[in-house]
Amino acid sequence: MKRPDLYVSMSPFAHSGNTVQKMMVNYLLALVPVVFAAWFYFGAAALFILVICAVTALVTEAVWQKLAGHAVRLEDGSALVTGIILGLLLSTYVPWWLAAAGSFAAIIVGRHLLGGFGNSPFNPVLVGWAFVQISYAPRMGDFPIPHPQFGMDMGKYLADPALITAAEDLEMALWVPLRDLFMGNVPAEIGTGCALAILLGGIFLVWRGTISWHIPVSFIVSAWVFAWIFQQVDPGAYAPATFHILSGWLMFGAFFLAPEKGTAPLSGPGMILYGIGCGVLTMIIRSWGAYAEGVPFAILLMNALAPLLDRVRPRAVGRNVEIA
Amino acid sequence: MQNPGTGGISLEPKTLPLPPKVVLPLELPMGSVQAVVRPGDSVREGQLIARDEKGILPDVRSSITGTVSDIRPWPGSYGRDALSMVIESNGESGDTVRLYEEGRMPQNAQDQLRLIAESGIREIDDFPWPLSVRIAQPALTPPILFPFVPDLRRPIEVLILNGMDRQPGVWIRSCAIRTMEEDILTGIPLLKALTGAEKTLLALPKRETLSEAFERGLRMEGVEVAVVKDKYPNALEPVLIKSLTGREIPQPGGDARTVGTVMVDVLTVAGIARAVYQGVPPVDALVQVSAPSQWIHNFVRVREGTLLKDALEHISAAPKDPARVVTRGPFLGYSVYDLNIPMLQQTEAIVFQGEKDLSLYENEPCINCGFCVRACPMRLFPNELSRACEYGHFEEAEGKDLLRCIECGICSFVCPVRRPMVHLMRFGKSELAARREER
Repeated sequence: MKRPDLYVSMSPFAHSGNTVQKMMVNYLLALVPVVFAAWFYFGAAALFILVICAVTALVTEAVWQKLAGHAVRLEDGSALVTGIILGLLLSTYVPWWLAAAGSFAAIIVGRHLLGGFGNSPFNPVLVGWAFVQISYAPRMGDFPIPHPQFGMDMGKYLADPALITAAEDLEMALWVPLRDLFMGNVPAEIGTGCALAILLGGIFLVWRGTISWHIPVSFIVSAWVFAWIFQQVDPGAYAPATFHILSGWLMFGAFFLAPEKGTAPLSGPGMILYGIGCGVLTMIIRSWGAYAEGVPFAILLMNALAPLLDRVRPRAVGRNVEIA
Repeated sequence: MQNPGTGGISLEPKTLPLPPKVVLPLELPMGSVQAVVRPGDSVREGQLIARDEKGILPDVRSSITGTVSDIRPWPGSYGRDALSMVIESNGESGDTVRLYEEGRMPQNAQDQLRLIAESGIREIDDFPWPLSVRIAQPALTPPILFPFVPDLRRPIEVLILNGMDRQPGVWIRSCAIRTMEEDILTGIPLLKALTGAEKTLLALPKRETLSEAFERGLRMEGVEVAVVKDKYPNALEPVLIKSLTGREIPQPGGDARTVGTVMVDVLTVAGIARAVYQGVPPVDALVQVSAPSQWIHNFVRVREGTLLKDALEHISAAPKDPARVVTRGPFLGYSVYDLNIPMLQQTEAIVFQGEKDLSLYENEPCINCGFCVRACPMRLFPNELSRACEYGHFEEAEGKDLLRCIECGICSFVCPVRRPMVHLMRFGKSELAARREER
C-alpha cells in the first residue's frame, strides 16, 4: 500500500497564532502613548535614553545568547521591551553609560542569570533598575521639569511627586493640581509621569489579553483604599488617595511592571492577593519608609512571594466533590 | 476559542454512492467485539457481523450487502491500526435487515434498550459506557453491572440533549438539527421514558435558530432549551453539565451518572428513534469533510466504513495534496497516516490541512505567561503540569490534578511558545498508569 506523505502529530491540530513576538508587539503598541508623552514633556533627551537602553538590551541579549550557545532570537522582541521599559524608569538627566549599565544588568542578571525569559523570580527590569538606583542614587534622584510652555513655572514644584508624598512635604503635595498629575505635567522619570498615557497603554494590554485585569485593578484599588483610610484618620499627615495613585510610579508599576510574566502569580485569587500586596506595600513604603517611591520595592518583594501566592488557587473542577 | 459561525455554508448533507467496499473496526477504545461471520461469508446490509460476548458493547452490523473478504488490522480513526472486517460490495442496496419484524416493535423498556444495544449506534463523544448502559435508569439496568459501576444505581435526574458541536469549525450537530428534526422529536419521549429523567434540556449554541414546528414539538415534550455560549470547550460533557446544572463531575473516574445526569447528542437521539420506531439500523454515517483554510465544507452521508479515499472521489470540492489529515475534529482528533481510513458514525469530521495551516509544536521552555491557566475549563495549571510531566515528576503532577485534565487541548491552542501540552499530559497519565500497574 502506498503511503501518502502526511504529517502526524498529537492533538490539538489548531493554534491561536499567538506568539511571544505578538505579545511583545502589543507591549510596544501599549508603550507608544507613554513614549509619546515622554517626548512631549521632556523632548529628545528622553528618546535618547530610550534608544540607549533598547540598543544595549538588544546587543547584550544577542551576545549572551551567542556565548551561551542558544539560538540568537532578538526578533521575539522581549529584550527590546525590557530595555524600553527600563529606559522609561530613568530620569532624562542620567548619563548615557548609566542607562546602558542598567539595561545590561537587567538583561544579564535579571533575565538570564536568574532563570531565563519567563522564569526569572524577579522582574528583570526592576533588577536592572535596582542595580543603578543603589549604585548611583544621587544621579537617579534628579528629575527634569517639564518644559515651561506646558504651564509649569520653573521651581514651583521642587521635587518629584514621589518625594512630595513623604509626609513632611504634604503641603507641597496639595499644591499640585490633580489635572497636572493626570496629564503628566510634573517632574518625573521619562515614562512614569503621564497617568493618562499609561492608562491608555494599560487598557490596551488588558483589552488584547496580553495581561489580565486582576493585578492592575487590585494594585490600584488597594493602594487607593489604603491611602483613603489613612487620610481619614489623619488628614494632616497623609496625602489624598487620588493623589497617591496618580503620582509616582503607581500607574506604570500596576500595568507594566507588576504583571511581568513569570514573576507574578497566575491564578485569579493569587493575582488579586499579589496586587493587593503590591498596593499596600507601596503605600507603607511611601508613608513610613526610607524611600519616597515605594512601587519598585513593593513589586520586588511581592515577586518573591509570587510562588507562594500561586498556591492559593481555586479548587480544580471535579476535585473533592461531595456527592449527595 | 469562539466557534466561527456557519457563514452561509450549506448544511445539507449529500448522499454518496455505494462504495466498492467498507471497513468496519472490531476494536474500539471501549473494547473489542468478536466477529460472528467469517471471510467468504456473504452478508446483507444491516446484518449482525460482530458482537460483544459479554453483552455490553453495541453490536456491529454490516453497512452494505456483499462478501466478507478479510478480517485484519486496518488504519483506524484513532490514529492507530485496529482489527477490522473488510466487506466487498456486490453493488446491491436496499432490503436492509431490519432490527425486528414488521409489527413487532418492542413495547417494554427492557426490550427497547436491548434493541438500542443491538442496533449498533455509536456516539461521537467518547464515553466510558455504551449508550444502552448510560441511558438506562437504575430499574432497567442489568443488576450485574452495579458492582462494577456503582453510579448506575443513581437515578437520572437531568437528561441533556446536546445540540452543541464539540469543536470549532465542526457543524455536524447543527446539520443534524436541521435535517433530522422529526427523528429527534420522536426520540425525545422515548429517551425520557428510558432515563426516567425529571428534567430534559436541549443545549444549543446561540447562533442556532429552530424551525417553528421543532420548537412547538420541544415545548410539547417539556424540553427546556438552554442556550450555551458557542465557545470551545463548552460543549464537552463535564463542562456542559457543569454550566447547565451546576454539578461537577468528580474527576477522575467520575461520570455524568455520578451526578445524576446523562448527556445524549442529537445525532444519537435521531438514531435511537429510527432504530426503535422504524427498526432501521444505522448503516449510514454522517461525516463532515472540511478544509477550513480553503473554506471547503462538505457534509456527506456515506455507508459506515466507507474509506475516505473512495469518498473523496465523489466529493467535488475535495482538497488536494493535504499536509495533514485529522479525523474526529481539529481539537480532539487524531492525525492519520493513511487516507484509507474508514468513515464511521463516531468520525464526526475529517479536516484537511495544507502546509500553511500546520500548527507544529516546538520544544521550548514554558514562559509562565498564564494564558493556559486562564483558558483551562477544569481550572488546572497546565503550565506546571506540563513542566512536571516533561521532567518526569509524575507524582507531583498527579498531586496537581493531572488526572482531572480532560485533554481538550485549549492550553496547547493558546500557548505562545507552542508547547505540546496535551502530549505531555497524556505522557504523564500513561506513565502514572504504568507505574500503578507495576505496583
